[in-house]
Amino acid sequence: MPALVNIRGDDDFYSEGGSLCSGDSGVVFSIGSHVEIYCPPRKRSRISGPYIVGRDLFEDKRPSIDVLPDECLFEIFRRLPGGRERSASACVSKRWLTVLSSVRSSEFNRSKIPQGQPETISVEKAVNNADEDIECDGYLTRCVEGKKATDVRLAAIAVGTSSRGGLGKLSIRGSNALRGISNFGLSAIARGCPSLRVLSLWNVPSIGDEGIFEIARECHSLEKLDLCQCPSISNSGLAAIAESCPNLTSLTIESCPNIGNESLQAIAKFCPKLQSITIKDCALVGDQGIASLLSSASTALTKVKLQALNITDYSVAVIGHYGKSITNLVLCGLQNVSQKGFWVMGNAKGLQTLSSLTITSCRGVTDLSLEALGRGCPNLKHMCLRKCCFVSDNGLVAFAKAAGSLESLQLEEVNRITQQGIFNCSFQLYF
Amino acid sequence: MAPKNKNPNGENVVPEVQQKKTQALILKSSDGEEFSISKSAAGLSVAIKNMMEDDCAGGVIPLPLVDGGTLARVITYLNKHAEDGASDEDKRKFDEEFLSGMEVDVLCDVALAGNYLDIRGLFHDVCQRIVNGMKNKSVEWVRKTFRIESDFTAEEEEQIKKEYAWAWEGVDSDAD
Repeated sequence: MPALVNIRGDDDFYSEGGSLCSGDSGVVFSIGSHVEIYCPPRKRSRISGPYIVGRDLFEDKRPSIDVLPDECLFEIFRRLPGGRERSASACVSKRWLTVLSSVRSSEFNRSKIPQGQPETISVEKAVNNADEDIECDGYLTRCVEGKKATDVRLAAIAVGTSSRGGLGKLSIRGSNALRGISNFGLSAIARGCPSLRVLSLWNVPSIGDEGIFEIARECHSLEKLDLCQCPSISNSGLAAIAESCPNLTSLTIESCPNIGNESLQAIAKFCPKLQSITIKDCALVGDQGIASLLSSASTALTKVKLQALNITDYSVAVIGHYGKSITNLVLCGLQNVSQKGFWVMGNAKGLQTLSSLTITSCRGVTDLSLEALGRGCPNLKHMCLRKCCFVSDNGLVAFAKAAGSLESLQLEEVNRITQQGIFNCSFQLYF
Repeated sequence: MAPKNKNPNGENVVPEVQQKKTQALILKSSDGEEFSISKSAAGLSVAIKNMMEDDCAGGVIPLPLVDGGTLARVITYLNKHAEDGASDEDKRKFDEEFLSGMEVDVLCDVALAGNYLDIRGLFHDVCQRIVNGMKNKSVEWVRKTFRIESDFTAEEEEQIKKEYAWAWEGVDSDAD
């Protein structure tokens, strides 16, 4: 049988260790590197390495548990039995919070016992886990705003919500000027909150594809994504979301200069449940993206809003042809769409279920195209026309006559329309 | 350098390494202490096993990251777990006693050594023991016990306390 030969005298060991471990640690630390004076004379002099486990580190005044590398802390933290302990540990220091937020919620120990190892608290843990499994469904909503929007806050949310019902909805509105939100914070959310369903990012320029990748990797139940003024997020980030979040139903992209056609094509390909899409002021989005989105996801898309995009007649024609399930359509500031585009949109006869149509600042809307729209949308109930200066009384009356189901007509800054036109129009609406 | 240590009774012992040369290894700690250990016990450490397999050991394996006191403990653990006759129940009892008397500092050293030497069972037990110690304790208690200074700004601390308000309720008193 093997035996330990060179065991150091226990007394020897404890006389040294004991003095360090006792309560008056302040005394020891103030003495600093002279801590050797506590030790009885030894037979062997100690060879000090540059980085040595144990006493030598304490002589460097380093706090005890912080000598452990992150990987060890990680292993300790993933054994924390419940949300209370995790949250309490997260409050201890930034390093602890950082390490804790790097633990994926699936990596927290679920009574996994390595073979042959004793498990003293497995009973308590099983109870705790049972509680958590029930709770972790994404009931919580968090919104971080302005200067309170920091990575620390996000990491705290990530650790804190995972055992308290799970985070379902997260909104980030702006970012702290000094310690702004970065990919790190969003990654922590991704790892800690796989239950996330709604993510809304407004004005967070420092969040880029890396953070979005992490969301895509962990949060497969994402249903709504809202990106506004996120210049660092590009096509590859959004495409990753498309590939891993098949339940996506709603997508809003606004003022994201690096998101373009490729990611919309990915959305069209991988997100068959998409119902609502809003795209505003994205310079890279063109006909290709919009056309593929509308033509392949057309079975589910019911709400479409396109604003300030460089799209042409082609996109509008595709909407008219394939938008069979669209009920709400908003077109706004489409400067490159001509009369021909709107005319085709009406005559394609695809917008059979459209019930609400809003067109603002589109110079392609004329008497001719408006009438075609009226004929092409038999179930249109609400029509709103704003700042369309090429529409006259004749066009409006013809439209009202053609759109048989029309119930309300809202006109704003349509300057050519006269009282006479409105009178004739209301005659059409009422009789 | 030949190992010339005292056994717990303070008597010089004949290094067993000379008797069982073929089966024994010598582990050398950071502070130059040498320990003899059977190959079967040493093999429980994946790191040492790899070194043995790569034959880069040459009889003496230097472990520059582990000090003598910690290594002695680790070897005690390895010997027990490599013991032929020991039942799982024995080992479990041993493990409990082995860890129960350890101070936080020592636990951390052993955890670090367990991680470095890749002794999974030991590492797991030590982590679990540290975690058990943290159960139901307040943040202040944890900071004091593990000697950690908070580096949160006052504002961050406030935010975080708000997020975790519930975690402050019903903890054990700090005096425990």
